[in-house]
Amino acid sequence: MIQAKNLKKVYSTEEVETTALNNVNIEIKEGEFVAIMGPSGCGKSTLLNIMGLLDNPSDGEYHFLGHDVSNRTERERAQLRKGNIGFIFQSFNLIDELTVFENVELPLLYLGMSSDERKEKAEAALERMSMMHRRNHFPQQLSGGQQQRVAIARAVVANAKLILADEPTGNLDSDHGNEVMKVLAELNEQGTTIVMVTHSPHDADYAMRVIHLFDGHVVTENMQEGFHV
Amino acid sequence: MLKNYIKIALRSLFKQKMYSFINISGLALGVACCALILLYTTNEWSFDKFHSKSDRIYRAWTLEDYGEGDIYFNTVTPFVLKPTLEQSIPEVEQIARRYVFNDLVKRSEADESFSTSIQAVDPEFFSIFDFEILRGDSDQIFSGLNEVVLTSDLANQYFENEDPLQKTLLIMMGGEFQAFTVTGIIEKAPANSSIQYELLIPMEKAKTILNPNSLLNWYSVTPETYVLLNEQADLTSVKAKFPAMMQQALGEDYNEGEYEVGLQPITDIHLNTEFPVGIASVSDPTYSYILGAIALLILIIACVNFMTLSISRSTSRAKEVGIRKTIGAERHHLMYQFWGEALLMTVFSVGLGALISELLLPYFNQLSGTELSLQLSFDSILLYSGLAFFISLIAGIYPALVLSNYKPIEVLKGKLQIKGDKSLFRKGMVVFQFTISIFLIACTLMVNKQLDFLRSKDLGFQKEQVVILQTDLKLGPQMGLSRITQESARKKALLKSQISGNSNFIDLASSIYTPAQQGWIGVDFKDTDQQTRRMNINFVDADYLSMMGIEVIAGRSFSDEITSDERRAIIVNQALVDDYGWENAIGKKLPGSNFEDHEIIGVVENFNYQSLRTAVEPLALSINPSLLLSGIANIGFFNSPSPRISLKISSENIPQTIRELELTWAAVSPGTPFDFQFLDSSIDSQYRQEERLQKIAISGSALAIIIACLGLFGLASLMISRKVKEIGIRKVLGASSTSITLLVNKEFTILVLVSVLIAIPMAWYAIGVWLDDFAYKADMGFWIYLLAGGIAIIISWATISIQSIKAAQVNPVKSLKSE
Repeated sequence: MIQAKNLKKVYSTEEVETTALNNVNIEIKEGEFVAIMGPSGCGKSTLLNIMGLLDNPSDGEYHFLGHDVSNRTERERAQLRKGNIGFIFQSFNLIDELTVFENVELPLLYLGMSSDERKEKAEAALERMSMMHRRNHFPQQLSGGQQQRVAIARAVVANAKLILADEPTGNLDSDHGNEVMKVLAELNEQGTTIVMVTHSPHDADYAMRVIHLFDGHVVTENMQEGFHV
Repeated sequence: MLKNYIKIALRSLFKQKMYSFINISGLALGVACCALILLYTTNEWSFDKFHSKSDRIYRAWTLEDYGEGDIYFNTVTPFVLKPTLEQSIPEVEQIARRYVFNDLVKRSEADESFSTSIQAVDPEFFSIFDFEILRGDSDQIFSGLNEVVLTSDLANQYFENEDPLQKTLLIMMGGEFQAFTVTGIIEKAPANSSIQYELLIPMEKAKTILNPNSLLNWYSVTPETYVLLNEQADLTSVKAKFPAMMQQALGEDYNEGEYEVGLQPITDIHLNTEFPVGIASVSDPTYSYILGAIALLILIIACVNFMTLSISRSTSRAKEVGIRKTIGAERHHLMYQFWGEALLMTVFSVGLGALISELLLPYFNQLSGTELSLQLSFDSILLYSGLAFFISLIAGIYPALVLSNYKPIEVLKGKLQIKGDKSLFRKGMVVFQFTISIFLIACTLMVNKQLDFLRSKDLGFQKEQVVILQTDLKLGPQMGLSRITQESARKKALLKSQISGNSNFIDLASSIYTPAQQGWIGVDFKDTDQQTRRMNINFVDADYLSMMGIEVIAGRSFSDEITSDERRAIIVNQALVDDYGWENAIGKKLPGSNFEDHEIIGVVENFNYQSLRTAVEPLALSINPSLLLSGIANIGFFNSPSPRISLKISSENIPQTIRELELTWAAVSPGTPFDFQFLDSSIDSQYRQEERLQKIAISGSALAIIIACLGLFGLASLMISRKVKEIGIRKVLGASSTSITLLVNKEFTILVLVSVLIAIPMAWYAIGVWLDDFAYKADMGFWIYLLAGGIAIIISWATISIQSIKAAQVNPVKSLKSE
């Protein structure tokens, strides 16, 4: 599903040039659950953004679903992203002005689905995340764990093949964190590919494979022996 | 999708109430101004176009040019022009003359009479123009002499619920009431008609009371002449026939190029100030331009606010942009969304603006001197929707471009750098808004100052507590100027005997004209060197100069005791002495050869008998009109001569004095309406245009500064939201709240100062142009500009400080944490 060859990402300002990723080679197959770990500033999020087609690499090749997407325009990346990739963020990133249902429905709007279809799918996603009873609430009225479940519902609503999670439990207490991790594991079981950036070894235990990054390099790649379900 | 956009738009509208309020109210004000101005200008441009034959109707003009600037250009014409045109120009289909005078009208002998504007017109008037005859036979109207046609309003006034047709009305004609039969009721002329009327009588009837010579004379101009050309007529070839026509008409008096006749399209009358004013009113387009410019500027300021505020709000919308982009929104989705929000906001504003314009309409009518009304029509709905669309496009596109361009990772990671904090564009917008505001404030201050100056300038005579009483004496076949002067002297003597001993009345005198009646009578004559001399003249009684407190600087005033004064004494003003280059005028004669025996007995100082727009022009006064009229070559009346009695009254108990005067006047001049004015208010009324400008400037500058400050408020909040971290760090390092407030204010103060620098030369130039209209100008010190800039700086400081003081007091722990 994902093949990265010699990925390089350099951020430059007027005076300083920072290399965030340096010759990163990664391959992720469909159905995998991969955790990316490493200290702050090692390039985890940068890698995730490139994988999620939010950013272009400075150099190297990146293939997503068989397409070379190393140097696409924003418009082309957006087209490819739609319906294929779902995002989950540490800070949930729900739109405050929209209700739970409307937040979940949003990706379907951009896919141009009919209102009946949207209703059906959004309700199914909410049902899956056990959030139907909160469909008319606004994000501020929910707990952190509930907000993250809504965010997950939004990520999966369009049947995304790939879910990219950027420290999904970072803003949650351990109970809510576990809850979210279980949901992700379930999704993975049902066939969704998941790539997750995390600081937490506990969360990483849910993954099949852990990639360690340090200063923009891949340091180790470990297959997990047995993982929790 | 659309539903989602509208939902979001409405929710964010209500969530950020203050911004929504600033945006909507600012834009609504701008829209209201714009709508009113559009209404005004459409009305101005539509004048006289409602006549179905408006493309074939012309007003005739005459131009006499005898060289050396001796030019007489008129849109009122000789009576003989009509028959002459009819005979000589085959393309002429019909001609109607129109002549207006005021006289008394009453229902019956026993009734009270009212001074009414009477129009004498030819019967063709009813077929050339589209004024509708509501009652009566339009083909038969004015087939007799003593017929009258009334507007339905006036008919209601005189006859109330009765059928007015065939009823009798008494109209004062040539000194006596004559009976007229109502043969028609006519629709009131539309407001956008140059020709307005209330009461119409046949031209043939009016001619019976006019001097028979003036009816045949090519040099006496009275009626307006409206010409309808036939459909095949070619204007150029019609015009080409005029010289030959004039040659035939004038015979041996004809000299090529001296007497020209021309045609002005009727639709050109209203806004063309190049032509002299005839009977039809003319509007000075300058005021439409000023109004239009101010309205447009206010709308632009409001649009600029919309842009800057939308962008300043964008920090709070950035996250949403990031999320939407991440989950699949493309740029055009977001462009539509944000533009749609702008459109929604504009629709609200336009709705509110339409409401405000309805509320402001009476005030606006007062400012513009119009009687406009707003009607909900397809056109007006189209106008408002068009305005909403246009404004949303101007004001919404830029923010939509900026917002939709945010990079999702940056905004979601909080790395967003809002472009524009360094952007010259937005600083330029602030400078632009304040330049306009300061410019308008300076203009307002200046108009105020000039008006104060005009009102308080010593005019060289006493203007307070002087009551002017209009006599009913008018020129007529049996009433020459000398006769009405004598008649007026008699009435004055009678009035004087009645009020003598009453301490409420201090003094009285009579004159043909009083100050504030334009140039009195303008005359010229050829002096002994055949050079044309111009001067103004007026006829006064022996008491006039002393009663008015006009200072005699050489020689003496007229005296009742010296009997020859009435026969041969002339008093001139200093301007005439200077103009003629005399050392000493006393004992001299006017240099024309045809004047009767006379002598200059005194020189008065240059008192301002005209408006202060003109410098004092040469003036000669006499008791006996024929003394000055005998030697002149040309005469121009700015107002028809009619004697007035001026009374100086005590400053105490003025209402009581006026009541007494009314009773006395009824005894002295029975049947004459008690028509009085205070001299000072009629002098002030000369500056009504300037007062209008003053009101326009005050309203405009107040609106501009309010809207500009709304924008500044928003911008300050943007800047402060970006400086939260800086302010926090400074406070941790020991900065006081005051120094923080100053830090924030400084940035904007610089912008306002730049605006002051740009606005000063603009205002200086505009003020100069405006003041060129005045011969007497208030001293425009530099302080006016400094004051205008000062006002802008103080208001802007007040606006910014609301936010900067709040920001400076925030606990730094909080602000640093939020970073």
